This record gives sequence, C-alpha cells and structure tokens, in this order.
Amino acid sequence: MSTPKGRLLAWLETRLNLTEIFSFLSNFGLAYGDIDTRKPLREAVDEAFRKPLPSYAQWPQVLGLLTFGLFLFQALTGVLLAFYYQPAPATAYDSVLTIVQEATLGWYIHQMHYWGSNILIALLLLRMVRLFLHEVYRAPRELVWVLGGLLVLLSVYAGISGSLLPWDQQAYWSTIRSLEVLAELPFFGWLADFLVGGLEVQGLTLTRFYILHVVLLPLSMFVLFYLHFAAVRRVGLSRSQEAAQLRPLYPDHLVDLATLLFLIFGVILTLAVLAPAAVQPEADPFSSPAGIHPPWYLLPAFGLIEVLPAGVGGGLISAGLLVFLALPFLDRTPGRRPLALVLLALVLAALVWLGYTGYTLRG
Amino acid sequence: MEAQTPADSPQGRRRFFKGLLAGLAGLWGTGLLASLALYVKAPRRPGGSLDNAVVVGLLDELPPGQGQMITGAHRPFWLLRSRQGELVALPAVCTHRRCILQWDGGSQLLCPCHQGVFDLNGNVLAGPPPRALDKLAVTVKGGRVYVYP
Repeated sequence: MSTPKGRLLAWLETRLNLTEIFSFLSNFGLAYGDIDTRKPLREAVDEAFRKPLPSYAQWPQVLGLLTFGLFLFQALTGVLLAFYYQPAPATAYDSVLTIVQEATLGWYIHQMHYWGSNILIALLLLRMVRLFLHEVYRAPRELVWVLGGLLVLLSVYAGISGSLLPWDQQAYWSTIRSLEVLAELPFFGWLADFLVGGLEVQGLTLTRFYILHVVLLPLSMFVLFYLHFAAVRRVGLSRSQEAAQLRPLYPDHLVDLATLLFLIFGVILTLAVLAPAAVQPEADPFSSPAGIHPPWYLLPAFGLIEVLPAGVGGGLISAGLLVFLALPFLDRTPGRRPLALVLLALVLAALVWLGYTGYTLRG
Repeated sequence: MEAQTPADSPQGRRRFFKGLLAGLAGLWGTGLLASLALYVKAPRRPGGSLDNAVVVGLLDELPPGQGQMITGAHRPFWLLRSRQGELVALPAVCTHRRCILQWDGGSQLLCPCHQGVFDLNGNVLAGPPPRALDKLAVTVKGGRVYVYP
C-alpha cells in the first residue's frame, strides 16, 4: 500500500465512501449481486470480481445489457449534437447543416445517433418478445416486464421527438403523420398532445420536443433502467438456476461485455456509412412532399387508424397498450404455452400486416 | 524479479500480450478522444467574402468626422470616418473585460469600466487592456459600406 496509487486510494478512502460509488455503478449491469459497502474499495472490488455469476452477457439475457449500452451511446452522441444544435425554427436547419457539413466528423455523429435510436427501439421491442417467450413476467418478475414495457413507450416518444429536430421536410411531415396517430389515441395520445403544446407543428412544438428529447425522456429512461436493474438484483436473472453456468466477473464477463459493446458499435458505424439518412431541404409548411411516413415503429398504428373507422382504431391501440403493460397481472396461470405462442404469432403477423398497410397508404 | 522471467517463458509472453493489448486499447482511445475533440472544436468560418460582410449602410449617410456604433452583427463595432474621409471600423468590445467602448468624438475609444484607452489604429494608449483591438476590414462597393466583423 506504499505505492503512489495505493496512497492516493487511501487518501480518497478516508474522505469519500468509494465502495458506495462502486456499488452504485455496479447497479447498472456491471457487477451483479450485493456489495458490502462497509468494506474498503479494494476488498469489495476483489470480492465482486471473483464472485461467480450467471452469464448475463450471453443469450438470452444479453438484450437488456445491449439496450442500456446503446442508451449510453445515444446519450453521448446526443450531447455532442447538442454542442451545435439550436432548437428554433429559424436556426434549427442551419445548425444541422453546420453539424453535417462543417464540423469535423459531424455527419458521422449525426448518422450514428440516427441509427442508434432505431436499433435501440428495435432491441427494446425484441427484448419484450423474448421476455414473453421465456415467461419472464411471472411472479416475482412482474416489474421486469412493466418497466421494460414503459421503456419501449418512452423510447418511442424519444424517437418521435428526436425525428422532428433536424427540421427538414422529412422531419416536419413525418412528425405531422406521427401526431396524427397520437391524436387518435385516448390517454397515450392526449398526453403527447398536452406535452407538445397543440397538434400544430410550429416553434413551440420544436422547443418542447427538444426539452422532452434531451432532458425529460432520457432522465425518465435512466430512472427506469435503474429501477429495472434494481428489480433484477432483487429477483435474480431469469433461468439462472437452469443455466447454472457460473463464471467470474473478471475477466470472463468483462471481456464478454467489451466484445458486445464493440460489436454493436461496429454495426452502428457500418450502417451509418452504408445507409445514411439523407438531410432533406428545409421544412416548408406550404409544400408536402409525397411518400412521407411516420417512423417505422408507428407504422402499424398508422395503418390501423386508417383501416378502421375514426375513433375505433385509436381506442383499440390504447387498450392494446394497456393490456401489454398489465400482462403480468392478467396472465397469472403458468402453462397454456401453446395458446400464448399462437397469440404472439398472431399479434406479430397483425403488426407486420398493419405496418405494411400503413406504409403503402400514402406511398 | 525481472531477471527471473525470461522473455520466452509463459510469464514473459503473458506480459508481452498484456502490454500489446494495453497499447492497442490506448491507441484506440486516443483516436476516439482526438476525433471527439476535433468535432467539438467549432469550425472556423472563412472570412473575407462578401457573404460574411455586414451591410452597414450608404457611405453618404456618414459625413466626415462622424462615427456610429453598429449593433447588428455578432459583436458591436464602431464605424468612424475621419475628416479626410477615411473609414475605420473597430470592435466596440474592450480586450480587457469585454466592456463596451465609447468614442470620445475625436481620436480615442474609451473603456468606462477600467479606464482603458485605445487610439483609432486599435493600439492601447492607457489602462489595463492586454491586447490591441483588431481593425476590421471595410469595403465600399456601389456607395454601400461593408464591414467584416
């Protein structure tokens, strides 16, 4: 302990509860299990690193970890974009052009944020399918499901609010389509309407979408992630007993973790280069271009409200969302899996069909 | 310690690969940080073209011996016309604590905050300002005055 590092650690240790900080950080999927915060940091870390764990960084538990990693990635790229972005109709588009044309590597950060958001929503949805398949909503894991469902909803709101910010034609008109969908939904839509300050897309909408997108929604998602990890700590990873493959945190899990994060980073980089989202001409309220849709995650809802008579579709979607969130409390009897699987297949098929309908409606 | 583990022993190889990994990770991290720093550094807009100029007004509106503070650009500046008709544009922002400079009607710009004094070439004559004022480029085209603030 006479090394400079050891002396620094000891100096800090007497002035800060380092173990408490480590325990807080390890909440977010780093270590797993309780940490004795009365022990000095070295001991607590050694203990946490040596403790064998179920493999949370491998299929099927990996999706939760990936979504949180992506969330942090979005936070980082989002902060970088906010270094230049100006949320007012007169300046928003110009500031986006500054990012994608003038700032070094700005276009890259813009594209990575765009692709990261789409992948984040897709992974959160995929995660709900896997939780359903593996019945990770039975007692005592109801909250794991509910928190995951709320994360899906918030990420969709974050996606909608974020897609307006570039203030180009695509942003403007696809937001009008999105708000059309939201306005139809009892409760979920009214909430959105209230938050955006009316269904007209104008300066106030942009300002409010901005503050929702950069402060309120990420903060809420962060809290939900935290609660989610806390719930997993309490009830344990699903299938941990069956898998029974326990490995130490260091180096096995950390290597898995690093590999995964590099992989997802690579996927985003590749998509950002090969399939970049175009920046279109500046938003023009007096000319609507053809072929603009709401974002893909709203397409099924868009299809449904167009297919059904006014008022019916929106009610149906809101009811569906409530059933989705309350599933752990509605389906309490284990077994009956064939029925559940058929239902899941039907729901997925209906979503795909409705999405296709929504896509072709205003081609 | 070092002498007891020759380079071709398992321990030596282990140390080599550990160092290699750390080196690569460091290289990657440095590249990442450098890219981020380059992005965050605000791009320098090329000056000098008429696109970046501020149209101050007509030359005839500013008789010789008169001066005017122009506030439309990203920083205020003084546009002064000497009795010989020569145009001078100087930032109206003190180099000391960014107070707004006043023109004395003659050949000096005065800082009200800490009694700094500049001449019309931007040089510091008195007071605490650490640097001279940068003279701004002025062009007259078609009777209009353009300043590059």
